[in-house]
Amino acid sequence: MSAGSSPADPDRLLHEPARLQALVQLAVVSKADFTWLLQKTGMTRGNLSVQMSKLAEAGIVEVEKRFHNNRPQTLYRLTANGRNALQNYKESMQQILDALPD
Amino acid sequence: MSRTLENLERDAFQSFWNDGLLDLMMGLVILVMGLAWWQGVAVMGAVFPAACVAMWYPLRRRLVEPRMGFVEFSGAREVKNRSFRFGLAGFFTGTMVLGLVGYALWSGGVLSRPAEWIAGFPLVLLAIPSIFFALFTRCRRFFWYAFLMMVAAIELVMQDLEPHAGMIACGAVIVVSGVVLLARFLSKYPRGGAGPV
Repeated sequence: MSAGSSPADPDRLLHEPARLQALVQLAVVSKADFTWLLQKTGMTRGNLSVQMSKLAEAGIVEVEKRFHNNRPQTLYRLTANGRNALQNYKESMQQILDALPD
Repeated sequence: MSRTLENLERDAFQSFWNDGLLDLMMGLVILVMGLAWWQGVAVMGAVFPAACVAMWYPLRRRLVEPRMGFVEFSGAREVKNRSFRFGLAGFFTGTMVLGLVGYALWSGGVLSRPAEWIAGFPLVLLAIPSIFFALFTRCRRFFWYAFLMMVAAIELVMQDLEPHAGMIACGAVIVVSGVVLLARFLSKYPRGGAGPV
């Protein structure tokens, strides 16, 4: 689990557009492979690879490697911690946005 | 799930069907059924749709997944998928039973000669699954296919044509649409590497 997610202080790990984009895509499905995330986020292979590694190291996503159609496949799934972190991030961002003057 | 995430999930599910493979299969089924009717090879009209259903997933795995990637939708979506499959299977079974009963009654002389509007009935029956697909996948083009089949059904009755003519025409249009969508998909998503660098 990543550090620093008090209401006024959004999770730094999630507070990065590329990672957040990948996480949101994962939040609406059960699991997806690298290629699916690549197409959905429009990131480069290198960038997505780096972001997903960071998320996996923090325990936000779970990685599963397997062979599918005789090809190696890397699957990602949002963990329960990841789901909570995303929810906390949403709440803290909401608080920050609500505090903004009209 | 919040409203926005729900929309995102719906968009992801909709994009799952945008490769044109389903259109191509559906068009081929209607086209081959029409040709089989025309040539009097009834067995082909029954076997080919079953073969297409069996071929769809292996083709998707070979053509679409290496380009678009693999995704497994949420449990709630899987429940909806299962209900849809049961509904569709129920519809086809019901239609088949209805057709057999109708045929038995007409050939046995219990019912009088079918009315003229019956020529358009097969296309109306084929338009119903297209509406199911449109509601299920949220891809509007399936409504257009259904609309096309309805118009063709009316035209068949008005022009006093045989049912197979409309099936061949509509099937051909849907096949062309499927080929265009598939070609567009294949050029837009070239086959790339499998995993992270």
